[in-house]
Amino acid sequence: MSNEFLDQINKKSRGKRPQFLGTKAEEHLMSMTMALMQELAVTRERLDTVERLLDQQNVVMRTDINNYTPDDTAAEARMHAQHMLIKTVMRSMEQEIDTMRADASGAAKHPSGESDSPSTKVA
Amino acid sequence: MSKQEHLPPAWHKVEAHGIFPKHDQDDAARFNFVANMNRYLSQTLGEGNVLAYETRVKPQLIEALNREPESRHEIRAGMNNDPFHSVWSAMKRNTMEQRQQMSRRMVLPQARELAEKAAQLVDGKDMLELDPTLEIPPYVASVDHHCMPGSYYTELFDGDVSAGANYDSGMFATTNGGLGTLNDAAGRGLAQWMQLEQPNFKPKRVLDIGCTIGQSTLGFAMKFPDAEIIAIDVAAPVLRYAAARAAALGVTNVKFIQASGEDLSRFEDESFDMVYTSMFLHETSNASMPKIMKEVYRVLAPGGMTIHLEQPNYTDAMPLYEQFIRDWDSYNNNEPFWTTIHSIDVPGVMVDAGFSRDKLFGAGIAAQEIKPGKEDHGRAAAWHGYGAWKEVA
Repeated sequence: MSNEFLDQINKKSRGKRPQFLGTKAEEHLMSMTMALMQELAVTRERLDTVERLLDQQNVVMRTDINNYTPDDTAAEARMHAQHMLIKTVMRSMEQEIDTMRADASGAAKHPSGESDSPSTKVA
Repeated sequence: MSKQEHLPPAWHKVEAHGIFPKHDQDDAARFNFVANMNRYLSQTLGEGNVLAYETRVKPQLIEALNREPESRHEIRAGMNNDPFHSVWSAMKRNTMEQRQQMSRRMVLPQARELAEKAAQLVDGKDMLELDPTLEIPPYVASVDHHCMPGSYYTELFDGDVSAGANYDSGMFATTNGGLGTLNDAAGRGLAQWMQLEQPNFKPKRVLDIGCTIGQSTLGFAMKFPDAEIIAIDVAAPVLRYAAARAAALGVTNVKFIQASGEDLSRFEDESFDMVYTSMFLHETSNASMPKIMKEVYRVLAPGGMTIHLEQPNYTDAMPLYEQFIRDWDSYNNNEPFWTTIHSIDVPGVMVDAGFSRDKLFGAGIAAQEIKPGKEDHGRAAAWHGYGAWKEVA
């Protein structure tokens, strides 16, 4: 295995790509959503492999995984991890709230003197 | 769980022959996702396209045109503005792009190993003849068919087979396994049809034009082990892969040659008793197809047969909506000639090439072992064969 042709993987095919949705931005969002759905499927399949192998080798039973109840420390840690995941995904919404809040207080000036990036404002 | 959905086979059911690219857990899961997503888009969401047309788009078209829509093009114009169909189309296009991306992600890191293995498999065997002077015809060079970056012919280095490995690995997912574990349903179906319908016709020398990786070629060749099969294509990487694949599968009656169907001058007049193509004509062009057919007529021996497998034509009997949905690939999956080939008079092109009209025939071809699933318009493992016998002088 080599990385020699790494930059070739995401190459576009020759031919005009149709635009299906209202804007190019929406096309990107759809492509990213589809890629994320695919990678989620990949992760779940891999996790399923791990669980089945552990079960087959009598290391951890799948029923034990399904019936697992975390203790308080583990439960809190997991809730925190989920919260961080949500924050990670929701970054752009949080940034927009920041912008709106700053606009409302009249203090939205960047140190450079420019107002906040137009790309974070409501379309 | 609700009712059991009719799901596609898992990707690891594809036959991992001797030159098939190696894969890991995640590669297989990516293919599984695309197969599943394709099935979902065609079967579960396909109904939504019909509903969008019947309840929204058709009434709007009737209002705007003051009449019923009269062509698939009018329906397409209307449907392209429908939010459900637009999202469906965007997702379907993405599955094609994902299929290419994941194949390349799997194949390219092992491209040099595959090339070495391919060379070893055909070493000392008379199975492959390349012509580096051959120019890639415009109908192949102008667009990368089915969103395949670099198409069939791009070489990353001397001896590269990655285009073939890429094509071979993704086909099973795109067709939901409908072509069988060796993706050979077209060739096998054609051979079965001949054995059933033309039991006295036993061709000795057969030409397959536009064979790519020879998946259909081998399906045919294995059913006619006494025939000598010549399979041609314009693209070297897929031919190298095809020959290695045949060698790995132990098929010895096929030779792969780099040549264009438009110029079969390397073959003598009347030197084949059968010439066929499978899912090839739709990747040619208005200019090239008549030339190809004239060459087919020339190299075919009197009493010989030609047959060309394609999806069914858009006849007046086919509902306009079905024509529209079958046409999707032409506009959205880099298949520019698809819409034309399914609406022109292919038998007429054959007559212009020299075949007698009363020697033409049509044939329904499908591989018997493969259970036809619900129709995935344009991708089903069943074809119409445009056939003709060459008159005995």
